[in-house]
Amino acid sequence: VRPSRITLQRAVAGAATVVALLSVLHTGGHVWRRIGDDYRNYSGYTDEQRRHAVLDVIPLPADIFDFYKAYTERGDRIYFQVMPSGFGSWADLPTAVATAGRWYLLPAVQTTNLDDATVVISYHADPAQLPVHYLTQVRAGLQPIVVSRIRPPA
Amino acid sequence: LTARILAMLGANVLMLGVGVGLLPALRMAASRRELLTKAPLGYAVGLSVTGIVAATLALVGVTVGWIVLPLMAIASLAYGVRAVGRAAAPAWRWNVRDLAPLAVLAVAGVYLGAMARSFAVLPIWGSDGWAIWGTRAKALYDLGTANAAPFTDPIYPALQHPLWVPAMEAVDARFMGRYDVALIDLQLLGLAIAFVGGAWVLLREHAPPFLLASTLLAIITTTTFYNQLQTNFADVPVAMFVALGVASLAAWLRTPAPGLLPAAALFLGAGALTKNEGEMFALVAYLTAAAVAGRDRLRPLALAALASFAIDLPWRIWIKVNDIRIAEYSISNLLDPHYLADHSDRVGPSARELVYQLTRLGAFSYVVIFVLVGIAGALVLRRFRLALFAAGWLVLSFGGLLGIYWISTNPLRGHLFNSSDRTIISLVIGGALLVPVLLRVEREPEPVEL
Repeated sequence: VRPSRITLQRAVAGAATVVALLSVLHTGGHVWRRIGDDYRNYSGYTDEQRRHAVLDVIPLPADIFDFYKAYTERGDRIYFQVMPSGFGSWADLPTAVATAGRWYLLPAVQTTNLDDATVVISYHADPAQLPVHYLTQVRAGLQPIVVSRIRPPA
Repeated sequence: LTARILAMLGANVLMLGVGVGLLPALRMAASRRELLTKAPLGYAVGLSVTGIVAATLALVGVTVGWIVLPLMAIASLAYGVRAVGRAAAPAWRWNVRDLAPLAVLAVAGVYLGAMARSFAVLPIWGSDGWAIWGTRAKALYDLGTANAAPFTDPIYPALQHPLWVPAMEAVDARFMGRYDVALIDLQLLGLAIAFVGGAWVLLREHAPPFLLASTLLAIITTTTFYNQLQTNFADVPVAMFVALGVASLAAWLRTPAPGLLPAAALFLGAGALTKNEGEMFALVAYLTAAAVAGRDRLRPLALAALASFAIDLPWRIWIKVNDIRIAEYSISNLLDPHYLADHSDRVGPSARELVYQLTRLGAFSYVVIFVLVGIAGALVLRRFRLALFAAGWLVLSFGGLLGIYWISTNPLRGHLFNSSDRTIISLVIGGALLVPVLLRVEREPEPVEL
């Protein structure tokens, strides 16, 4: 290969390298500060705060989902009974609760078929309105927040 | 917390073992010394293979955890050590010019280390990160199989997304004893480390080392790379696999050195098993490579494509058997002129939005400009075959993304708002990693060009 050809190759590679390093200079500092900010903001979180982070962002009350979780288990198929209501730009309230429940209440899974459900989770709704007989029912204080068991987990 | 980090680290050491042992089979190492010196590439191979195996076994209800992963590592290492035998390694040649790229890589290492510290405390909270990817990973960990409602019942979202990310996170969760919402995304950072180390080892003989190291640093210091990787979405993982795959393919088109085509087959296969777009990016890469490779190289290229397809095949069969449909679009509509004409009003806004996302300096810094400089440089150097491959892959992949927005049934504004900044990541990272290969400095006469 002629020396002039090698020089041209090096010049082109050098130009590209300059652009790559300019790119690093352009955002490297910002990304570095962002990494540090994230560490400072979240390093003080407790395990519980981290578990609740998703619910806090939605936002849905984490204590209610902890209540639901305490009464559901592996093998449960959950029917979500949620008060019809708007919620935000991305979803209505039933969608938001079901989406959060699918994540938070695993290994229990969701079903939309009441006949197939082992448990009904009621969120600001009255489980007595559903045409089904319950084995047990647990209510969160005086709130219309109820876990109603139809049958044992599968 | 420390115990769980150590458990995840242990899992990753075993994955490293899986990959290092497989290097001789992939023609990436020929001696015991190379098994050690190419360990970073082994880590990338190990993550790919472990994820592929775990995702595939999940389809039949077999879990990869404390028993299967150590067995895989032992079997792989035993094979690898035996395969290389006592072959003599090429003499180690130290050159003072290696210092500069290694210094740049050290800076990349500092960034990745800082990200690890941050990822270890950051809970996943981005919407799809938990609602789709996190739920699927947690379900694989909790239920041990893909044959369960979260993967088959249409009330669960995005059933069409393949399982590489969930399967890997489920492996880690089994080692940690729980699905830890703060630590789990460290696995994706592990993939980023494997990407940097693997690309360096794989491509340093096929690219100017300083340019290669600078490229890798430029990629990981873009705002999008850090912001998106921490969300637990699969867009950056698929981009890293696709980038390793297309860069290997480009290097093979230039010089058919051992290991490059197997690397392309493995990483493009892993990309296909990470996110649906990965299948499209891989298909486009093989088609573009076939167009420029020359007739005598079509057979090995076809074999590599078949290998990538074989990685994806069990998932595709499982999807078919379980009648999983893509809720948002039907690929057959791409071939329906009436449907395309009826929805042609989606093309312009989609193209404009994708181009806008590509040109946002706040997202990708100057990396897109870097890609354009690289392709222009290849043309100046009269490397038309490589330039055509790079430009062809980028343009056709862009067209593929555009096609998906065209046929999607989602309302366009929301669809673009929610995804356009993520779907183009593979084009940026893939395009960037092609540049050092395009601009290799040749001391020997250059291979015959088109």
